[in-house]
Amino acid sequence: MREKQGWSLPRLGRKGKILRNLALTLVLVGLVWGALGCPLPPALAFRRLELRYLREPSQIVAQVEQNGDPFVVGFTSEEVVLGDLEGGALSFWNWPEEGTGLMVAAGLRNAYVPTTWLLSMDAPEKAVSARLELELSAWMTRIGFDGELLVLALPTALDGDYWQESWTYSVEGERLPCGEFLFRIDAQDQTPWQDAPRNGVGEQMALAQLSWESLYTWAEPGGEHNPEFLALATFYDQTGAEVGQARLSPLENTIQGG
Amino acid sequence: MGADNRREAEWLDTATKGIRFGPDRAAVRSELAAHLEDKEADFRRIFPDMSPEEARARALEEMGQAEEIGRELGRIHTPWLGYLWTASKWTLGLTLTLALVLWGWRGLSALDTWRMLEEANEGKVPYGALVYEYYLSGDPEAPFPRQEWETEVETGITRTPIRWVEGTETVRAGLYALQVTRGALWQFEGESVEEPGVQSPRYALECELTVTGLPGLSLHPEAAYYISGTDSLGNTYQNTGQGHGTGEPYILAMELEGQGLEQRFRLSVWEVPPEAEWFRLDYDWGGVEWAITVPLKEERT
Repeated sequence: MREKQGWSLPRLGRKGKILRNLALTLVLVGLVWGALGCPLPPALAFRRLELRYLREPSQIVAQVEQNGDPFVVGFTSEEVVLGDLEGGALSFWNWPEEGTGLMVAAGLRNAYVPTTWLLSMDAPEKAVSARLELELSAWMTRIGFDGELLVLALPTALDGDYWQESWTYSVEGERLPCGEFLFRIDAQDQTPWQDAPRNGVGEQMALAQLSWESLYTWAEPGGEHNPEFLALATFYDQTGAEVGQARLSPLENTIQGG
Repeated sequence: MGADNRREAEWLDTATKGIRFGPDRAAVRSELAAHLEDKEADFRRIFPDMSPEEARARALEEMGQAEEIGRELGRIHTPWLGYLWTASKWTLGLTLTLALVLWGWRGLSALDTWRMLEEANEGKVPYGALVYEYYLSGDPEAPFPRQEWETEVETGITRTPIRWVEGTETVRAGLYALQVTRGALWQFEGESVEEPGVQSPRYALECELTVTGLPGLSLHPEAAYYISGTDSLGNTYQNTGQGHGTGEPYILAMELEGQGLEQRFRLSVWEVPPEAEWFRLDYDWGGVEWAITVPLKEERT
């Protein structure tokens, strides 16, 4: 009587086992990568985001980090693309109609995210250095449970005393290989808002507290107590002569999706 | 007996000391020991008068010079294959553990979300999904889905499908294959509580855009915001919510729940005239262009 032949896996030698283990490991590494959300280095993650937005790849000009979250800026002939890789979204900035523009090359900034970046758009060709000046003026009032907390707010909506304070901040730009300038605005060394002296909030705190968006949101058309904000970059050539300027105006420059 | 055992152990140690990979050394040693025992048994079977000590000594002699065998075995057994094998086993084990932990965690999270949704929907199909299905199916007999509380705020709008979409060509753009799979041109009559003042009747083309992509590379929902349109009468439609309530033509895109690699978008195109024989979805953004022509049929098959 013939013995029934059962099916069995072929016996593998040591080399075969190594290859089998490697193949299985590769499959599992793929699964682990997938479970972690398919992370990629910033440039590749930006490319993937562009693919998902059905866009042709742009020319990557800058990569920055804000509070550990990566952002990538790419240029196309049509517009400037800002990739928020952590948030998995692209936003778009129009090229300035003439001269040089400034864009925010990172996400929203607030007291907990004190660092942000500005990037020039179409910087003057002769520029070898650049300096960014921020001027901020806002109305202050005192509110809170114990009357000690200082916040930046529109006093029109509040009762009580209010006063105006102004701050300035300046920073040198870093020239990128593409010829654009990157400005890092860092309020890490701000006075913690809880410790801020009455009537004496430091400029760093103000910079941290106010995001561009909140300034524009707070502003009322024709309002008497609107905050005022100016971000002005000045570009210099090798001799130190001024060769151009650029101003930030986010709401006018961003392209609203859809 | 003890001296014999020691001699045998020494012989085995010497014969295998050239094998640097520990597990191999142990395996070869036990193989040689078994071979030695076989030889000893053979001697005792062939020469029944031979004492066990003599049989063992003869077997050991026949095995040959331990040093010479050791050198040869050391040459044959390269250690790196053994180390590589061990490393591959450990790597596989660790990766498997990591994959099980991560996918287990993901599975539990997904289960949790599913349970929450089931609880929120009380086990029923969500109302929004019923409305999408109503518009996309274009079934003139189907009643408009109502929620219990909504019967009190009945708006008095009548909805009638007058043209139908029954699948289009598939176009490729980037990594994606796109197709309009179904839909209908609806006629709305009566005053809308959502958009009071807009003239009645109104017309809206409701269609389903299906997008098939690759794993982990689903089309970003915001890409659909850049779809515009043109109808056979030359009217153009911009994809913007700003047209809502103005009576101007516009498109709204919304992602629906998909399945596997297939994504579904509901496109609502407002103010498409009932005379339009086709509608074209146009896309020209970020250097990518595509268009899908959607025939609007007068009969439903």
